[in-house]
Amino acid sequence: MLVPLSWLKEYVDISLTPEELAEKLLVSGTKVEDIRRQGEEVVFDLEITPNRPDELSIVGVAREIAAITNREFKVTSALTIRNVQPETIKPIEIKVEKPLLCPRYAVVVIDGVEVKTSPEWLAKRLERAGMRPLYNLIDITNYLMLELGQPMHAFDYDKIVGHQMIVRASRKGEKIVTLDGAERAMPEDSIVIQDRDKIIDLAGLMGGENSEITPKTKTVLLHSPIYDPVRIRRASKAISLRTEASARFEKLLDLEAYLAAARRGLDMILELAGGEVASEFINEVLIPIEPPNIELPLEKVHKVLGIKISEDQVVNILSSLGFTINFLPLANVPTLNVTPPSWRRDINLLEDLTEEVGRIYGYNKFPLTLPSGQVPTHEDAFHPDWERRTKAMLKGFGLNEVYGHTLINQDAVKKIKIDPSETVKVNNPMSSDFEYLRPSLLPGLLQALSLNQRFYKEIALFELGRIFIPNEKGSKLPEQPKKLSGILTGNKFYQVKGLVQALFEELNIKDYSFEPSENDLYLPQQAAKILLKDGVIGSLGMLNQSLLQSFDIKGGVANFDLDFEKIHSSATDEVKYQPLPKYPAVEEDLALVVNKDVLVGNLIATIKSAGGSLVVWAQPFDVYEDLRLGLNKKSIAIRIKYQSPEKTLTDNDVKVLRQKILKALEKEHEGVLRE
Amino acid sequence: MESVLTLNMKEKLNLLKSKALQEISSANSFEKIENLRIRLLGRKSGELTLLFQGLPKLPLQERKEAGQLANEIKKSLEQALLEKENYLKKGGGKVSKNWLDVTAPAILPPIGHTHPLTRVINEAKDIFRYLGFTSVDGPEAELDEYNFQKLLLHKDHPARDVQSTYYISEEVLLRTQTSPMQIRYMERHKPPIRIISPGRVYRRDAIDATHLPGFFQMEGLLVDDQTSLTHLIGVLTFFCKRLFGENVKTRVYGHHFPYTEPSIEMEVYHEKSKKWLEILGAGMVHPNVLRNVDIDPEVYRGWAFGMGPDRLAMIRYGIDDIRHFYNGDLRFLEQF
Repeated sequence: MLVPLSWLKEYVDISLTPEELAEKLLVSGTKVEDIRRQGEEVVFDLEITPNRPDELSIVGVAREIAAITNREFKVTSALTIRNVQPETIKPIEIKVEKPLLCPRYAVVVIDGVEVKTSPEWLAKRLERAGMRPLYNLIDITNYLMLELGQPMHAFDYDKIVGHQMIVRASRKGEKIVTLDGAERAMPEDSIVIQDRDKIIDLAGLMGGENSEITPKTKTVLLHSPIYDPVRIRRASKAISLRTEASARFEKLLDLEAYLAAARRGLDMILELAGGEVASEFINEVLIPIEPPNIELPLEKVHKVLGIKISEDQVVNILSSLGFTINFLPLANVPTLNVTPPSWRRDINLLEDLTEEVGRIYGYNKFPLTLPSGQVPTHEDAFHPDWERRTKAMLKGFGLNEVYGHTLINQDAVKKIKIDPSETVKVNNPMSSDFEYLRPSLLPGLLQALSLNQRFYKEIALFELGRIFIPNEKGSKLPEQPKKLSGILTGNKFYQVKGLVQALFEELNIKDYSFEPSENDLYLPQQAAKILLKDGVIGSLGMLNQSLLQSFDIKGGVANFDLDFEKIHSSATDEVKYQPLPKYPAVEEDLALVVNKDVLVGNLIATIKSAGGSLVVWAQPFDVYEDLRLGLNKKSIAIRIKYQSPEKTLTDNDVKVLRQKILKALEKEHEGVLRE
Repeated sequence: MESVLTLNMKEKLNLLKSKALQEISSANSFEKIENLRIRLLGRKSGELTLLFQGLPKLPLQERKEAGQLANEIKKSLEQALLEKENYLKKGGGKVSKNWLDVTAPAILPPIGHTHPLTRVINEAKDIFRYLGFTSVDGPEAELDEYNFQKLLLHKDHPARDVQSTYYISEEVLLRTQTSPMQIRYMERHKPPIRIISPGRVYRRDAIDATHLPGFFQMEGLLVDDQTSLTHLIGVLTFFCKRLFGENVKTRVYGHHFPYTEPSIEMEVYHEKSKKWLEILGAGMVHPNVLRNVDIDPEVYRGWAFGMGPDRLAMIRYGIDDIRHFYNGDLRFLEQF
């Protein structure tokens, strides 16, 4: 909203500098975005919040300034309403089909006008407030919209067939050519005005071309309505047309200004375009709307604001803003009965009044205190921050945290071999680059890797964030689990595996295992799934070359991808102390010959299950292949540590164990001791 | 020898000094140093000690001058012995087999970096945790009901314009704020409540240096039976001082949000640009929002705030372009 200072000064004395005034306006809730100097004029660019349509007017801003600077608001002659008598009568019939569509409606007809350009003072004011002057009749409606906040429209009376103005809801498929020459299809149930034959106005948004003012116009119909704001807003959104008028009509307008605007409009037309009044001054009040009486116990103001503001001060503040105040002498606690002025239809509750008191009193004068209430003790307040610990851990391993875009393009979805139809997408993307909700963290990581390859040889990245999967269980929301994924350049399969294990160690996650797995994203025979208590919680492997090429990445890349929701629910700080061993351990090495495709993990598992709790540790330390071992054979050397919590193991104890283990290895893996 | 005998005391002293210093300089073991110390300075028969003993026999004027000289020489010999000893202790100038050039480049462990947004969010979490706030997290694809309607933004509310929205379906959208998490939390927890909810939010804005379709937001909520606006302003000021430094300037002014009443915004003064920067919106929770989650507004009051970690990080670290946060450029990330 552009507000010229000279215009404001007609309604309130201002002695502050523009900067001082801007500061005062800001503190009380009217933000000054910019102060522009145009010659001798100063124009404020104000950001008006949607609850304050009254401030979408010079008068409204002046009233606000009067309140915050302790000045009188000047009710000038411009705001006094005179009675008028028609000199000739031009017939006009007004009909509002549903009162809710247009609860207030003022109309007057003026005959014998001369359409011409406006006087310079008027044209200049319009320009300074950001509007283009056209013809006097149109300029007058714009001028008054800026001054009083009430949009009006002037019709060419002679183009209104049957002299009927019928306000009604639109029906499906109706169209109108508006003033700007565009043909617009109206959504059903928006407000239109028609004459006997045709729609002449897209109410609240723009007038029709078929009834517009031209230099030939002799008789004018001026109307000043208050429409149903919801319908205006819906129509404005549906046809993407937002005008100065619709920005006001879609809010709760002053219940009196429409009348003042119409009267002033009439006066100005008579003055600037000549002519004479040619109809009754029609004022239809279709729905009575009474301003609320709000009981305001002062104690409540103190409790919400946290400071005691005296009754006098509260009364002064509210009256300066135009509120009517009655005292309730019989109330147990000091209570005011407050009625907001016609232009403050946003005020309904005592909380609303509390805000008025607070913002005018000045929030920067409030003492700074910390909460004095009870501190919550909900169970979830004490959960460890697993995310932070995980991120710290990965940083310690040399990985860099990145945040990729959640919205990605179709190409990126296809590259990771996911069918775009099996993803979640937004209905109204701004651009096709941000359309699909990422089904994986991988595209973002690979894009980042690709970007960094120009500057870095070794790159290690990770991201922790949500991915999105269509929900098949009938819930309205898609599934959106958190994932933890990382990529490292080079042939670092075992480093990545170690990193995952070390993370599990930190989070006290046990009972996990790795199994070979085939997956389109990874190279054949170079990937594993990660299991936790038999459920899959992720995967790791060397990424597929064609996938990497599609992101312009050269060289090998190892990846891990974990379901962080499951990690989160399995992580724990519970640790059970194990008494330190009292008896010595016995270590020995077994060199086994097995088939080449035997997994070392399975051998270890067999050793542990055959040896039971006495096998406290077993790890391979050497693997080699040699034709002398036999075709498709390999040798694996495994070191085993035996230990009992109850006694020192004898040679014989170990021998019994070893035989059990060898038997099991032979049975399950055809493994034999190397000669 | 005869010539020596004919020297006066001062000459004898100087001769002793130059000879001794030479010997100290060529001594290359602790043993030799110790022997020299005894030979020169030994209490009974050290060479210098003996010369000292001859002093009283000299005429007064000569005695005075020679005495002074003898003392100076004693000091310088002691010093030279000590220095030599220390030199030998440090290896005597020899490069040992185990010598390390401590200025050579280190072998670094792999060094990773925490994203600046994570850093700011963690700092904020710590500050609020100190004040009893728990961090909570929730869905990013959210119901319109939770993102808007329960926060008093019905379908036709003009304030929806301020938060242009991505829709997935009629009822499901990408949350424009983390407030739905406040609703979800209040539905399941009784006051007193103190939570913060950092997370991603989405706005359908044109993309530029300060706008992206997705960014981070952090909201906070407190509900109990005695809080007030002074607590809200107090906590927010406390937060700004912890995050930006004790001397940061802040100011509060009136604003409008449909879900808070009264509503405020806070700005911090940015010294570098000499500008006030808006960093958060806040207010007392509207009684109808409390009613929507079955909390009695006659008994309880609450306040809430929302701020952008992207904005906080940009101010905190002097970053000029929001896009740096999301493209994964290591040249940027490695600075944190």
